[in-house]
Amino acid sequence: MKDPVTIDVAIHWVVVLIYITATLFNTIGVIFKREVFEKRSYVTLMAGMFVHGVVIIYRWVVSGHGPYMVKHEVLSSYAWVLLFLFLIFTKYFPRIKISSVVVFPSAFLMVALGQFTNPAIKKIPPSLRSIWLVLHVLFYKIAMGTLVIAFAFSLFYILKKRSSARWTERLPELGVSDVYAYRFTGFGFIFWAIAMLAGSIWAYQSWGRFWGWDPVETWSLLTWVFFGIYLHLRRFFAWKGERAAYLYTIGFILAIVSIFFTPLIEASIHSAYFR
Amino acid sequence: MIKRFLLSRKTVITLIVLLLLFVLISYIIPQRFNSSNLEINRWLSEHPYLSPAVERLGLDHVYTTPWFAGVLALFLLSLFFSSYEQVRMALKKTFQTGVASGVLSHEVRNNEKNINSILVGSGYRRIRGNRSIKRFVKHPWGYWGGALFHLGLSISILASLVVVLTEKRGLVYLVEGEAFQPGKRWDLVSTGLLGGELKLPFTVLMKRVKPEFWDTDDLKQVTTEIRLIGDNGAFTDASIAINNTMNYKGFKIYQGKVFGHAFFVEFQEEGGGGFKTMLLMKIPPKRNMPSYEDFSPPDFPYVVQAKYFTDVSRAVMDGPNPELTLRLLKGREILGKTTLTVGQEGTLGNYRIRLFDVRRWASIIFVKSNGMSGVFLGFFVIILGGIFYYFTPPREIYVKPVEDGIFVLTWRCSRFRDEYVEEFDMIKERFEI
Repeated sequence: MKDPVTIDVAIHWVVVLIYITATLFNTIGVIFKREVFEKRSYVTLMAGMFVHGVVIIYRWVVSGHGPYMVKHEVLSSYAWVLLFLFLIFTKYFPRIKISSVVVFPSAFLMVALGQFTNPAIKKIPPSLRSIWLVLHVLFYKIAMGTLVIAFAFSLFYILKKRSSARWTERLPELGVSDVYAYRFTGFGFIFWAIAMLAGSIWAYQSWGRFWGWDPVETWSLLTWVFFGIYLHLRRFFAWKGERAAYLYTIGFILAIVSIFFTPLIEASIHSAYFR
Repeated sequence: MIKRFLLSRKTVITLIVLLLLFVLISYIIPQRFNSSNLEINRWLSEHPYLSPAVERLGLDHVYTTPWFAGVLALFLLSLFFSSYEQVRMALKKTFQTGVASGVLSHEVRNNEKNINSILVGSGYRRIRGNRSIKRFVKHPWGYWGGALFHLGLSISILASLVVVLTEKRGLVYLVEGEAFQPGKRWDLVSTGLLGGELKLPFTVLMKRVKPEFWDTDDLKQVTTEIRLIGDNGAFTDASIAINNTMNYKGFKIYQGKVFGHAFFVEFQEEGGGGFKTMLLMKIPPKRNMPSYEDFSPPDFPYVVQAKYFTDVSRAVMDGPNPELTLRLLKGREILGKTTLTVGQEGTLGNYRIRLFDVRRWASIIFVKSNGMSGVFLGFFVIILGGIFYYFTPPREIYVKPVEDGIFVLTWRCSRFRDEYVEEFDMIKERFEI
């Protein structure tokens, strides 16, 4: 088994299994209030993240470029950044730990989905060799990570409000979910802006223009403006609670479409990405 | 009245939604600035029920319609007023005095020095206050988040307008050995409304095009060696590549990503007439895959279909001997076909064809623009504002003496209050130790 792609795929499957285990421990821990399971889920998760981090670096070294070309590496790196961010944020906002019930499965689903795409290593075109590209891509991953956490709280709000199932008692109070959804959308909004800024500097460096109304750029701007409207409605029109949660869900779907689908449906300067 | 209208929450949200709609329209309907007439006409014929509205409202060029200009102008005005108001509010909040109402308070028995030291140790800074009430703030820059965000938006939009109105941008395809002189026609050119004519103050000579490929045939880099020659004959030799630009006499020079081979072909008619032409072909995607192009030379009654491989061996991307295949078409009827490498001759219908030279070519882009640094400055200010707003919400503590050795601490947080209530509890605990 000397082929680097085979090694990469095999280790990714190991990562998927570890993350599934962590997700099961976590769900049992949170839903049935079993603290031991919850603690074990974090130990398992960190072990998985270590292996995952190593395989991302391995592929980076072998391919000669970061994880921003083919679906396999892009999805894998999105999952790792999401988990890393989640762990960092729990240090500063311990009450967001509950969002692990959405974050953990999102991560393993992304890695697993990436396994069903072509893992072949693609060489990087010259226009993609720029530090601004690395920042551009990294901040989209960070933005997406914070938006997943905000989505978790919007979802909690809707579930707690709509469902009378006993397990929803474990979910945070409505007010707490509402404020965290708001705050993390704000974080996502800022990280998304940084990603667009880095992208525009990179475009200016490569093509002499900072904005080209490329389909991927346009969708990214639409998403950013949509989140701007969401934040504006919350701040100045006192939108909160369920209708804010539903509005956020639409924005989250828009973000997913922007990041993962527009490069597939349109021919653009971003077409080297996620193919 | 106007100011109140522009600052109204409803006006602001309506303007943002309208801008979002314009972006959405520009995505759905092909726009003249980035689509060909053919694409636009095809779209219109596929959506006949929408074409009257598209034509009447100029929806195929939304960014140059009076509707968009009006909305953008209102949005900018609203932003300016909003920025001004927010700067005023931020100043007021930063340096305000007195005790805010509707907040948490706690009584402590301690001396003033200790209170100061505990609050400073908890990240609070002494800011303003009055004689009797001292004011401490954690993250006072957080007051400036909204102001900076709106100011940044104003700067970027204004600077973008300057760029759009004044930018001059030209692209030229140059074959090795070819010179592009001032005043010569551009292959592609775009100038802003206030930009004026794009004319280079120097001649550009293409000396050499050097493409590099990965072993997968994907492009690794395109480098060109150029000579920039001034009026007096003085010249500068330079090398540019993708992502490796140069500045020269106020122009930024970019390596375009389009390049390939130029085939110099002589057509000799049986009756005696003939002409020479240059066929500019883009590089094929793979060593064993050709690229195609159709040509209609001037005053020539037929269409010439061309196909080329980078090397006759089809084993390399960067071979010394490109292979050209030509087909002569009259309508759909094929009159002849021939395959040539440099120096070879063939027959194409009634013509003798000679491929007498092959050279590389590449595209070079020249840009002259103002305001770009303003755009990026605006972006940075937006981000700074956003970071201040969402990451560092300010928290205030007012210290008011009520009796000798007894003080009332009043805590306040205007944003995300529920997340920081525990912070005040921790401070209270420190006073009780």
